[in-house]
Amino acid sequence: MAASMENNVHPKIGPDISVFMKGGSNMLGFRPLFSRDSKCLFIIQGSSILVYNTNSGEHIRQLCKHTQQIVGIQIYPRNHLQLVSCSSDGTVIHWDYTDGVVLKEYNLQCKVFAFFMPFEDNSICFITKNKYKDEENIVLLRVRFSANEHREKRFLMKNLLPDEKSITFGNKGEYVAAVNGEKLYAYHVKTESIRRHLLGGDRHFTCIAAHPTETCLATGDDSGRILLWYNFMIVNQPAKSVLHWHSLPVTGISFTVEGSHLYSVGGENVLVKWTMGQTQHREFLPRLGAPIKHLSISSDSFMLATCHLDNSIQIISSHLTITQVIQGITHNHVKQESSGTLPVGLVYDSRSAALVLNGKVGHLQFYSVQTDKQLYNLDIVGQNVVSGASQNSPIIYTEVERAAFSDSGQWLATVQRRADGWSQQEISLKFWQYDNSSQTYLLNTKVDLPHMEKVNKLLFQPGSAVNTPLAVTTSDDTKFKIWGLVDDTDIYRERNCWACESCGYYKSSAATEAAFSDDGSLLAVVFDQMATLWTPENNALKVALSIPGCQDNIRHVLFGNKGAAHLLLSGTQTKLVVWNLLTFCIEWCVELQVVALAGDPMSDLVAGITKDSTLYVYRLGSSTPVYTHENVSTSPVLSAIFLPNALEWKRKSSTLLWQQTSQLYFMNENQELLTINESSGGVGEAREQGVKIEGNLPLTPFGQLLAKKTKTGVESVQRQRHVQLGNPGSDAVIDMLGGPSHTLAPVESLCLPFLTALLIPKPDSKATQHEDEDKPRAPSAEASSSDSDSETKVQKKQRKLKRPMKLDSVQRDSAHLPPPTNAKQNEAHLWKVAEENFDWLGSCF
Amino acid sequence: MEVVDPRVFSPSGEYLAYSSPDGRLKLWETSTGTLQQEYTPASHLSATCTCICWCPTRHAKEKPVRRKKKKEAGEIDTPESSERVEMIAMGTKSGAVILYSIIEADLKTKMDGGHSDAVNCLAWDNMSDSLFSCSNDKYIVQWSISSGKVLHKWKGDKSAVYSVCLSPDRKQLLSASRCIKLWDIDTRSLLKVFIGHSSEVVCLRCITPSAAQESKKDGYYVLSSAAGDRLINAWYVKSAVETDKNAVASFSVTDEPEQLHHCISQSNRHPGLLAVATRQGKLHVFEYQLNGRCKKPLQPKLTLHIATSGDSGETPKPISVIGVHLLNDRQQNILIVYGDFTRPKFERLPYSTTENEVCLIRSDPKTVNRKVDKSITKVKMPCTSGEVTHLVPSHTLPKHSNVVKKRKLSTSEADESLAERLKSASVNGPTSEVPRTDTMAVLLTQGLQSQDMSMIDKVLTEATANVIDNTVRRLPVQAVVPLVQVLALRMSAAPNIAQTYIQWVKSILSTHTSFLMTFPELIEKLSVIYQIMDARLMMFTRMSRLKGKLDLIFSQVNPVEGKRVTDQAAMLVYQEESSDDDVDSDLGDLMPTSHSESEDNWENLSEEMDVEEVEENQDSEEDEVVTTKKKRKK
Repeated sequence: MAASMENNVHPKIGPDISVFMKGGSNMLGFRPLFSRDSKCLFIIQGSSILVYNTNSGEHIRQLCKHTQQIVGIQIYPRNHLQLVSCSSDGTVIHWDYTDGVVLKEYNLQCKVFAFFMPFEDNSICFITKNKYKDEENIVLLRVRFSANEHREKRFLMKNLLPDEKSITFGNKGEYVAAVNGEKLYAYHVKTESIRRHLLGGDRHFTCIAAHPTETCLATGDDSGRILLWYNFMIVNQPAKSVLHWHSLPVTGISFTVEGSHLYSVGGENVLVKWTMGQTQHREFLPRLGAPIKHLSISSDSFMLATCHLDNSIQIISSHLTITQVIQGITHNHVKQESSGTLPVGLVYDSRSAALVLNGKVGHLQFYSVQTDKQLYNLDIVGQNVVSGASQNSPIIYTEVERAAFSDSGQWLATVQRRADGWSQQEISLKFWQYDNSSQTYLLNTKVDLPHMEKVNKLLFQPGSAVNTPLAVTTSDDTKFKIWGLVDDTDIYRERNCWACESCGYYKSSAATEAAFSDDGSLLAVVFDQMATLWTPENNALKVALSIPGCQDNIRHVLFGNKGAAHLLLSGTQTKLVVWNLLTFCIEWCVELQVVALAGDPMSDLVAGITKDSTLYVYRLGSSTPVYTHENVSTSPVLSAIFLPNALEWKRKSSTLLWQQTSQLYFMNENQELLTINESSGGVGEAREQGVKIEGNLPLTPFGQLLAKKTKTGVESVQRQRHVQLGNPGSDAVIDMLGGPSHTLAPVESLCLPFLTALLIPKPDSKATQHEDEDKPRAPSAEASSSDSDSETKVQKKQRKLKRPMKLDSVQRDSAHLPPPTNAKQNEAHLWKVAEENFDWLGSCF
Repeated sequence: MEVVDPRVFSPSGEYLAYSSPDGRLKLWETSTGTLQQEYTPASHLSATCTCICWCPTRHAKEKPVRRKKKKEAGEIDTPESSERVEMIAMGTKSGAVILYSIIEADLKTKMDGGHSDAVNCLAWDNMSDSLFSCSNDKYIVQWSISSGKVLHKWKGDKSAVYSVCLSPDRKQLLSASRCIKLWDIDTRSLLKVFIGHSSEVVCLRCITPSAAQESKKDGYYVLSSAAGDRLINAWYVKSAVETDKNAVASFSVTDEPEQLHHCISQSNRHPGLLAVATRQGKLHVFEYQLNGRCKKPLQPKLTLHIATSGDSGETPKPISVIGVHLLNDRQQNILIVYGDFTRPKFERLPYSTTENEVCLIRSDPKTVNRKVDKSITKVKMPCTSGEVTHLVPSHTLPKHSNVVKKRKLSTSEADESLAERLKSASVNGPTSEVPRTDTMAVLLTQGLQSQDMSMIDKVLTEATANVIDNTVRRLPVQAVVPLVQVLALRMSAAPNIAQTYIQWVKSILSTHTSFLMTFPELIEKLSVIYQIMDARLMMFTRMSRLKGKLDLIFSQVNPVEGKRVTDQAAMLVYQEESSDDDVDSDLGDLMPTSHSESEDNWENLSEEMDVEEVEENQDSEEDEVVTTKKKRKK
């Protein structure tokens, strides 16, 4: 699990106490990578690499050595069991990922944005910022390592984007293509020539991928089109074909290794599989849960990994079935202004001992802290998630905004709301009952518009008897309502349901926060600056408290637990105030800008996290903090909660004694779940210490036929490949015989093209062949042998050459092929013939 | 001996491993009940698995150090749940031991050459890299896990050895065949023999003592169960030789135990628990204190059955508990598996001894639709299709309307006398005269007392404003609150006809204010009415706004007949100079005088413009005509 690793995210503060990330760390920054055997998947998570097994979806190990964000990982081309990673500060590390050992480490001495190893040698390519002709530019550099670790840097391209998806390497590094805005650059590595193409039509490229075997590029743009570019290295107006299915920007393209298929993804939550050559034929894997950000393909094309915006990675087989989902805490990727990132906050479900928070849109996710695993996402709103029409006009979704569990966990109450700003808000309150026999939640009561405005707080009365639970909702419509379970039995069925018992208000100000006392006998409701106390059973106002000389609204309210049940804590924007409810006096008051407040249900402790991310822990009896910890989070903290420890007593060092009964968890804006704990001297190392088990599996019956080690003295025969179809020279013959005889060119001028047409063209690349065309190919040797002889020889050779060609096309037997040396001699001989002066032929006609 | 398919929970209760007779290994996640992994071995590896053993957690190595500290603090050493198990060892019928890696979801290694017959039990010792196995071939084998080789092999008994178990200090080994033998691991010498069971001992469990108890005593307790035996014995093993060879305590179960799991006491407040799943599918939970001898067999504190409800006329069928695991947590939850292994169901039950015998009613997993959820994505759909009470703002009470209607139907048909009484009550003058209100009041009181809905209905719906006031005034105070409740119920049940009821409420509130103020349960009884009123008022501003808008629209759609029409006609005949004045005068009649001037100006302006335009148009038309003519000439 992504969350299972506890990695130290912040520098140590205490002797050995630090903030640990429990889950929710971002795995989406960069593309994941498959190992060559497709057994492992490497995921970049900040400064560490997570290794997952693709088969089981289990986390194997974590590679941490880097100190900065890792910007790229590649399999070492020379040894496929090595992984090379590069961080943004230029540190490159070679790993043995099967053991998690660092093999080599060096620094590139510059800031790196993306990192590649496309070439067969050990050279690396990276995108960096560079001063080029007095202007800052983002460039692609190539570094080659010679034998004595000497580095040779070469400049390849400029005007790039600092994004790994904007660049691709084709034909094993033969050319490099990059996109930036509406421009496409293609750079030929050998000839060092560069060509620029424009997209036009006010579209912008989003990603690029190169065909593995052909000179072909696929680009995605923000209008959802995929363009296939051909002969872009040769002409200014290259041939293009358009594949248009996506309606949102294409975020990832990938060719299969054979190049027969193309996969593409976008914001529609759909994986599209195109068949090259017949692009009207496509296959889809829809409803993947969340918009897709990246796409990776394994080197055998059997597996795909899609990175989703909800921080999950799905492994999909080439048959388009999901085989594994790697998921820590589901991130809320739909940031709706009306509800914020984490509207529900952190809630504890005692029945499953799970932390409950917002998950997918309209879902609640259950996350087990003990096992560091997400249990499931519970669909609360029951609405299909539609992907957005465009980025400018986002769809407003119904989001779960409040959730609460009863003490026993039998009841779950949720408030969902959809506010698009111009039509009537859709608010509904749902009461779910956990059904033991079917092990699911059953919807018991649904209340439409429980309040006319946003519901601010939803709470169950704690400590209440099982048969008469109460729930309270507060709202901006100046009211709070108390809901009770009523009997709705009739002669047909036995049933109970929830109904509003009473409704309270105070001075027509908005009811914001609410809290129940430990035993459930008192209810505190905040109305702007006033904290009011009510008895929930008969809804009678007991007392109203205000902070003297304070005009701020009260933002938090909390009753003391256990020994401090007579104390009420309230927090404004700048202050924390504790009232004594026996005397109605202020017990103590401190100036603190608290953003998140949590009370320990097992003791009289409260923890507050301030705006500047400092944690203060108080015992409610005194104003001196028990514990303080600075910089607990890099981004603002949204919510905090004390979760009871699974075991009654957990040993803690003296400074963390306050966490003896309950552990404090808090979540920040980046949706990382954090906690404070002792760092137990390298958890990662301990993990690696396990007994190494020698793999000793019996061989399969076929495996037994193979020797453990094979050595052969047989010299490998180099096969010649002849890529030619049809009769050699047939074109020349048609040329010669096709025209009328009186227009026939002199025979001497026909002879050379005829003979050259009979020869097998050299298997070199076309470019060089064309260049060499005018030069004499054969060595300038003298003409040999008699005239008539030479012609018959040529014919013979022609016949001879025909045979192996056929054989080769069938690929049957290499023994019939002339040995390579012979072939070369023959060829040289034939060239000699071709070079001869054919003037004498004229006399024959 | 009947062979039971091996099923073992991981130490923390996170997973359940089960091997089916066809050699497939299944792994369920207990918290969600999902089949996490299913491994079907390749044909050359397949073997019927006879026993399963989970690898102890890797962090076990650190534990001895910790334990020393904990001794002082008086705390317990239990495996932390966050540590992950990664391996399963399986013994096969052929005598090989297979290690399966959960992380890789694949076999890791196969250890061969130790046994010649089926392996019966495995004990894993991670600290010394060894694994103990016992077999039907009478031997006990110590394997090296890392190399997969046999370290030692010795004959355990004259007959098959059924179970092995490591002592808490990992220096001694207990083996069980017909009797229980204690071995020293290093020397492999027999230390002691315990005799007590009459049949083969099939299961041995060593109770790892808590640190507090460990410090006091130098021995430890071992639990054993035997084939066909209804007693589970507890033995006290002490390093000193002179301890007795008999069981110190025994637990009686109703049936042969199939799986047992125990947990030690967390603190002094809770006793240790022993949970036993029997072959017949019952669950027994025992409490025990490890404090020496106990003559009588202990009886279970809690016996649990599971059965189907038998709702639809069927006889309730028992569902067997097939596995149990005690989660040693705060609530002392018991994790049970029931049903069968094609579709096991997991459930966590908090341990409580309020009832000695508990029967859970559960739906039979066999009959539940067999749609196997194949999806990998972890999204659960809660059940929303069942009976759901739906409440809306003006309808904040559960729906009793159905009930009311049905009752009304039945009573009105059955009770003829009521209708007669009603008729007789209104006989005096139903058409012209106002009904006698005293009769209405009496009728209403009677109806409220007898809960006769039709009678109440008659009174409530047939009254006029005047009658309502009079009736309410004459109503005895005892009937006021019941009437209010009846009204509230009706209003919430049928909000669309609440209009008449509101009259009643209004009248009651104004007439009986003083009584209601003194009424002690005022808030409880009137809150419903308050809510309804509140909800109805909530919509008031919106409704009035809507009404205003609708009025505006309708006034546009159906123009007011009369003068409007005339002024429109006047607009049309603007070109006639003479009629202009008429229009103006008409407009002047319609509009306030202050505006008439500007209105006139505007109109004049527009006229001029129109005229100009028209002229232009004419010009252009003429031009066109000219051009066409020209063309024709050409």
